[in-house]
Amino acid sequence: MFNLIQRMRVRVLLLFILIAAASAFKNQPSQLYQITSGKISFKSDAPLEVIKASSTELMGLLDIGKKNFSLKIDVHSFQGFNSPLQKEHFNENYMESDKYPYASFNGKIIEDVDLSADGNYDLRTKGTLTIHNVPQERIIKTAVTVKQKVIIIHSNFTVLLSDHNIPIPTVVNQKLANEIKVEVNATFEPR
Amino acid sequence: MKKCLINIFLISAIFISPSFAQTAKSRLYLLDNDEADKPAILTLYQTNDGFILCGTTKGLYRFDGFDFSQYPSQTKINAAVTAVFETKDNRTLIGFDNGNIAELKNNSIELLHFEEGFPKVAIKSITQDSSGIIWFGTAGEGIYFIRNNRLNNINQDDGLSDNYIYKILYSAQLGVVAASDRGINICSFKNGKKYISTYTSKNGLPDNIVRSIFFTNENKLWLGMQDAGIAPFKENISKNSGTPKWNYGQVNDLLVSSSKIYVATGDSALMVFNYYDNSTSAFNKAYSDHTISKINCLLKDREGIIWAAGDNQLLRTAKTGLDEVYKLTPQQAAQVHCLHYTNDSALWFNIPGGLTRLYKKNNEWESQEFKLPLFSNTTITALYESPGDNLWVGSLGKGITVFNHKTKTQERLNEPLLANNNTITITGDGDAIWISGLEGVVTAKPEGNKYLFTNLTDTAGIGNKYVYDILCGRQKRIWFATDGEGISMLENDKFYHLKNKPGYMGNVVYKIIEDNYGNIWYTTYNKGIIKYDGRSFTNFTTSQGLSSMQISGLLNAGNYIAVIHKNAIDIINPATGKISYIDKALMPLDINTDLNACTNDKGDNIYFVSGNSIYSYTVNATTVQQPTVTIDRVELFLQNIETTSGHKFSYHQNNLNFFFTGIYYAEPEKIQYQYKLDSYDKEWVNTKDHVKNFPNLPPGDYTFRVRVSLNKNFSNASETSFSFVIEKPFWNQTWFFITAALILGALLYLFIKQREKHITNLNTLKNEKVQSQLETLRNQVNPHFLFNSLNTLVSEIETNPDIAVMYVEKIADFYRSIIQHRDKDLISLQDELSVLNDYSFLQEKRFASGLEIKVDIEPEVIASSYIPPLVLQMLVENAIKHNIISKEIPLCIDIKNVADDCIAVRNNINKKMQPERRSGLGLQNIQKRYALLHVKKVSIENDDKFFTVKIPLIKK
Repeated sequence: MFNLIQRMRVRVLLLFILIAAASAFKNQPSQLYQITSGKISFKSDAPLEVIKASSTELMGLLDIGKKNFSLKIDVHSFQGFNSPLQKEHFNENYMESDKYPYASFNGKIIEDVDLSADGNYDLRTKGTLTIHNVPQERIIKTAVTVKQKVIIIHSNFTVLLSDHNIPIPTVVNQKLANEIKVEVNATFEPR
Repeated sequence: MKKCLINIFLISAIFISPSFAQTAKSRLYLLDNDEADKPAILTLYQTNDGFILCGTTKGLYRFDGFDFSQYPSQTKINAAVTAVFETKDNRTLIGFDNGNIAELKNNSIELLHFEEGFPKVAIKSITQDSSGIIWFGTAGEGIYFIRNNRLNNINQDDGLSDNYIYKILYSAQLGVVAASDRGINICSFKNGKKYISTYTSKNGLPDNIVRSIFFTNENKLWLGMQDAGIAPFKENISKNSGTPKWNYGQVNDLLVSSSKIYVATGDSALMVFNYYDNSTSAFNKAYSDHTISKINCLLKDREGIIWAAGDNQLLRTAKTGLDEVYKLTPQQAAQVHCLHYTNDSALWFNIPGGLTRLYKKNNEWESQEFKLPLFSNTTITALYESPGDNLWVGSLGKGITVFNHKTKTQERLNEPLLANNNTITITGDGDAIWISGLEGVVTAKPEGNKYLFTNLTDTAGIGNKYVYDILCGRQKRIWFATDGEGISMLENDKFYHLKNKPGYMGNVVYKIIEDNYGNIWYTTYNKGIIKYDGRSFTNFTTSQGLSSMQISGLLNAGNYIAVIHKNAIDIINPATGKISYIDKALMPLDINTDLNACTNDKGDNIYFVSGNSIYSYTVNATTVQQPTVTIDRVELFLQNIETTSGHKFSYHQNNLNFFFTGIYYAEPEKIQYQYKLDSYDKEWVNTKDHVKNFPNLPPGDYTFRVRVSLNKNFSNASETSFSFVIEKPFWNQTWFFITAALILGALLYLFIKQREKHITNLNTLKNEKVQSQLETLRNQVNPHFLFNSLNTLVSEIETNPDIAVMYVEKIADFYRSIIQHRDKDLISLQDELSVLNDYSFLQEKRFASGLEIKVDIEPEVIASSYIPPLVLQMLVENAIKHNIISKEIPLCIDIKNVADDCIAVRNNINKKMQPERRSGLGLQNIQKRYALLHVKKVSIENDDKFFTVKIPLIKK
């Protein structure tokens, strides 16, 4: 325990995403897609330390008719920290994962596209990104590939810890960047 | 920037409106290039530095009054420029019809980057709110705003009435207002939350499609709609607030300037309406301009000029400020001699046999005619209204009538000097009326129902009977403009004559006024205008910028002074002395030059007659806007450099080109420049060029300053500057001087130290010499030597008295020689040998056969050589001192020359058992003395058998 306090200037973090709920549209089953495999990873590139972690437990639903979607992730599921202690700090000190177990992004696709047709699309989504129980409206750019009813998405964006009330103690501000880079890859298939 | 071919068309057009005609000259500029497909102007914007930017289908162009030049782009953006906006921190943002957003940096277009990506639809409009957030209206994706360098969106999901936005504007009172396909949206973003309130036809908006909006200076919002024309916006707007029977087509753009509304319409090009603050719905069409058939956008620039653009055409229309008040018949126009603006905001002028009163009703001029039968056969020359609506009407030959249009009374004044006389001017200061006639000046003070008259015909007072103008100035001073005696002034019943003051100019004075600062201004027959500040006189002539020296009128116009000429009106800013002009290009002036045929109201307006109309002209900060100047770019050796003021160049970067542009759209050809490179040019240099080259500038701190004026008067001119430093080459830099000085100092120090050491050395050697001399002396008076010598002598005296005598003589010789030679540096070898000879004799007598001294030196060497004194003697003495001398082992000392310049003194070694004390001192002395003489060294060879000392000889 003592040791833990000593190494308090530590690591981190973040987040993310997901899921949903759109059971109201069951009358149009062919319009509703859900994530069959998804991966979300983040990276904090601070001057003194690079922290990375990822999770494959991304859940999500997409309605290509209404063009709305919902993504959700269990914050506890992030793996791949530099050390078990880092993961502990991530969950306990920063994300408060016991209190706020999920991060999510719910919204709509801005562009008017038909995702039932095969093709590559550069789309923007507009929605509410909730991390650490703090919602922020965001526009997130996404590359979408549709091939034979399989929708693959790829997206890079950044999250400011300050946007989500995640404080960085000044003792670790050389080890933890305020801007966290997030990458999301997911495959949707018809439900 | 790429220059385009420009065609300028001057178009004269006469537009007839229901009320009055407006004659205006507009000017058309064509944005032309070599391609068949000409760029079409979609948006106009004036940046803070004065340039008009044209967003076109082919990119962004800058218009400077003469030319269009295209801004280059860092990356190829194949899209039309649909929006331009300059932020409070002077960033010029550009929106494209493909949704891209760029910024103008260093005269080139650079795309911005947002993590969110650009919108995919056209950016229609950009604005900024008071908290600095920048807002974008898009054609289909609603509104975006930048917060923390992130794009945020507001669209129908957030409550926006429609995602298609035509125009977005900010006002402090309402907030961000967006005109959309479904009404008006007022948005704000506070504490992370979006607030939207919408006004659509449900709220009473006459038309849901609002294509354009405009905020007046009073923050009043105007709407331009698809079908319902134009309307002022109110929160409780009603359906019928649109323009009834609007048949001019959709409203692409609108703007409101002073009393006019300019509307770019779909079917009728530019429509101009009169604007009355109180009017509810009806708009009175003023005129229309069909020069450009389809107008996309409008702009009011800072000079008050209204611009309209469509296709590749840019039209400069009327400059605001000049309005036609009343149309006269040519007969009336020829007979107008006096105009007078009265306290009840009416404008009076004379017509044959009477007067016309113009007054404003519903913001439009109405006229009223009054007959003055008494003056039916004469000419009315002067008008003045005294309190109580009493209009004093002066005539030629018929004196003065006081006319009251309310009571309809006319009273002819019977004062003898006035009756049947001519009136030049009438004025007053509230309680007294001042009248100037050909016979002198008369004052009239009301007393009851009558007037008390006083004549001032005595030339000793005013100085001249003929007074052109009278000014009732501040501090109860009355000023008189006389014909020949200059200006007289009456204060406390005492006359003063400005003519007597040093520096006075102008004997014939036509008009006098007093500005808001208390300065007196007057016009003269041939000296132009003179300003008198109570102490000195300042002259304004054509070289200060007056349009001509023929001046008919001088008027107060708000904070400015208007100067009326036949074909021009000059506006003087009394605070700065700067002169600007009414825009002649827009209306050719042919002004009635009667002295009283112009007047001013209490506000900013002046009134005058030009051609067949009475005009009003509003003189304010907009209409007197002076040209400004911008340094566009700087070239170093003909290469554009991206740099801002304060740049440092190295010593060889010294060929600089400065490009500057003055902006004055009203009359760009009038622009003149003066430049000066501080710490290079001593004086300002005049030029009409837009570029100045400085080849081969020496190192130094410079400021390139350029200023711009419409005339040769550059005092208080708008100025801009570029400061830079050309650094000295490193060998001229302070640090180099300091380092070099330090190194030189160090070298000098070392040299001095070395020399000091050398001198110390010499001194030491000198001491050594003295030391050696002492040593020698000491040795020679060594008691042992004396004792030994005397003992030898004693034995010789008894055995051989002759030898004894000789011995004593030798001792004496020896000591004399020592005394004689000891101070010298050198003696001849001959002398030395003679001393040695004496010494040898003495020693040989003492040691008899135990000592053998052989001298074998060639005679020519003896004759030509010198040697330090007593060296040989010392060496012999040394040998004797250090060796045992006995018959068994005799001491042999050989002295011979081994070379021409070297004597060797050699003795066999037979060391005493106990070495002598102070041993070696003698030899050391010899060596040091040789060192002092800087000749060859003494060499000492010491083997087991012989001890040899080689003494160099010195040749003279």
